[in-house]
Amino acid sequence: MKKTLLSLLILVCVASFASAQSGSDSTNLTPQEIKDRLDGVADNLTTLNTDVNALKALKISGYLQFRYEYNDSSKSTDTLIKGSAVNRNANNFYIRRGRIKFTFQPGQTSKYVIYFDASRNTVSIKEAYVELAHKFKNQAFALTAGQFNIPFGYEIEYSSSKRDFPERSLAENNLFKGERDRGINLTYTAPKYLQANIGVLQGYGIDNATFTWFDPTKQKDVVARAKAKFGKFDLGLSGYWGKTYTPSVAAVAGSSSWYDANGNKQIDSNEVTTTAPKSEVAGFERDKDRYGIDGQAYLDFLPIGGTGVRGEYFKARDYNKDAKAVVHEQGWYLWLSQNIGKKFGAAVRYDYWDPNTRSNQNDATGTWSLAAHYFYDGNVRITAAYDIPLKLAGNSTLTKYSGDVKDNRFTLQFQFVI
Amino acid sequence: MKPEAKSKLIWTLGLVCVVSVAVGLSAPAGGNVTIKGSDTMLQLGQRWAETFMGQNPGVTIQVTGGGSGVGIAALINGSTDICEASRQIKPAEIDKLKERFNSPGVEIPVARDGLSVYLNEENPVGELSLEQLKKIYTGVVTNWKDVGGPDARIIMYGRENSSGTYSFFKDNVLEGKDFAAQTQTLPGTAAVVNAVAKDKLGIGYGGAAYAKGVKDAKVKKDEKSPAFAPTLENVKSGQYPLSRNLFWYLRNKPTGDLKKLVDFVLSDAGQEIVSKVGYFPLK
Repeated sequence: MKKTLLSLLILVCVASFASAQSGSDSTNLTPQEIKDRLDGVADNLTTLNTDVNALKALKISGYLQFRYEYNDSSKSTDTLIKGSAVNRNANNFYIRRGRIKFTFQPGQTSKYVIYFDASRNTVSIKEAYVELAHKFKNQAFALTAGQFNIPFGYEIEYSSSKRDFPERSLAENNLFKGERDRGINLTYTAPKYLQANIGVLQGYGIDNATFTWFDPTKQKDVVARAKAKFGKFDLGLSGYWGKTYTPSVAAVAGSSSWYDANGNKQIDSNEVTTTAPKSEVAGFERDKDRYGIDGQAYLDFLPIGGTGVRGEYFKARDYNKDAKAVVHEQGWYLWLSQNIGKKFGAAVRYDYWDPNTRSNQNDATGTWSLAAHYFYDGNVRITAAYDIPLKLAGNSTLTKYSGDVKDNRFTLQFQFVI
Repeated sequence: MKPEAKSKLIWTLGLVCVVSVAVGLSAPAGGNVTIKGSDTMLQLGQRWAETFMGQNPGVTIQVTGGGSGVGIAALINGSTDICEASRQIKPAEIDKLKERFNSPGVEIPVARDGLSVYLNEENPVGELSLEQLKKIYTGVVTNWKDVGGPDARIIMYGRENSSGTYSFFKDNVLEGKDFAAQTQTLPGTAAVVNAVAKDKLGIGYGGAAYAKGVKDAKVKKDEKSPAFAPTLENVKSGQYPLSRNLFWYLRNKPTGDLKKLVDFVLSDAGQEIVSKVGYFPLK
């Protein structure tokens, strides 16, 4: 398109030049005059070139995911569907992700990104940041300021348009809801093998219903990650340290009430109910930390295509305001992905999440996910996926609890990537 | 969902997987091979393809250019089997291959090149240092007299940013800095050579094989170093400062006709074609 535009503009310039030539008596032109006119055309081309390069600086990308989803017994794990009166049958067509990203990069030293999401019935800004880049010999530094992906673990940075399964792992979804936050992040990239970053973040993400844009804690959270790449094997370590805030509870005045139970119209001691006053409970902060290790291996031993093995382990500590206690959480997943020629792919994942490792209740869950892909062309992928969530007995990682509910989910997804 | 229905669904998904495997396995690895990418390597790829098809009548090879970046993008989206590239694949591109094909790709150096600096044959300048080239292409030096030539404006010709030669020149000569806005972008090395051949004040860059009707400037690492021309001897010894490998990239280890083609390219017969086209063999 841009080439066509440039060609047309050049054609107009040349035509204008030719027209000017034919309009004057060309036999009277001196070589110097012809050279001057050619220089004029060359200058115009330079201007056009500059304009076209400016247009090239703006890049548009994005993707659309349209789904049909069938949930067993309306027990969808999707919180937006679960319990919704209007979606009781949990059998839906919907837009899961409608993303469009504008990147303006006029040179190598800076870029501006704004990234929108239109899904279900809302439009939101997923990312908006400025990135400053600096190269020192073959070392690269990038400073990102704004709203961006939290640089923790493997799954967050891995685009949903590429992932085999409809959703990220349970651990990631529980610990980093929305995947993004606001702050500043510094990334260092060494040639080929190593990338490291450290960031200072608001700490409450972009999907928090209460603290929508402001941070109730005094401190900012810190995140750090290092990733080493060895060709067919990649390894990453991540850490996150911050605070979580539990809001204050207002004081409640004491009260007493009398009910004349025996009808003697006198206040007997056993007829008075007294409620003690409750003093105000001040809001307080508690530690919130997460640690992660992730690894990926890319194997090339089958004639049908590449085999990817990806795994990640999370360990976290939070304050649960409902339980009024510090909880220790952990989760992990193992994901096997196989390409089958250029047109097909298949994947299986086991995903484990325990929201309280020190509890003996059956609160751990595991989910088997299966997926099959058909790559219709370079832009379109059609995916059929089946998720089988399991309640796990006694926190064991693979044993199904006998009280397991019917909550399996089938997803058929059509995806177009720009 | 009822147990029977669930069972049917699982069987259906299983069947889809099995059919996928069958189709994937039955898809020919060769038979019809596409090669796309570097314009610098276009002639080379075409000569290899012609010779290989002559020896293997059952195989059809389609070779197109567009630039190394375009070729790598085609490899990532599955629209080419082989990418020709005059620069190394970038880490971000490897990540995309991993995401889409569960593979970091396979890199095969197939030839050597001395990225040449073209000057008009009437230009009295014979040699340039990397620093001088950097200053010219970043717009710091704009007159030939500053590098030992006549008092006249320097007209720079270059390649589009999808070109591997553009990236190599930018990384190794400009040290990552942007080209001056006055650099005229042309859609292929042949066009650059053509422009310089007609323009006494022109300067361009591109693969050694294209230097017809222009002269190659000798290039020196710095002011104190000796200048070297992009000859076989200097490129093989690495003395020519802009020596580079030319690559083929594949998604996976080659099998079938693809493997036969790669073996041919790396064979003595394939490397002889490299020399005939004007590049330099690996050994």
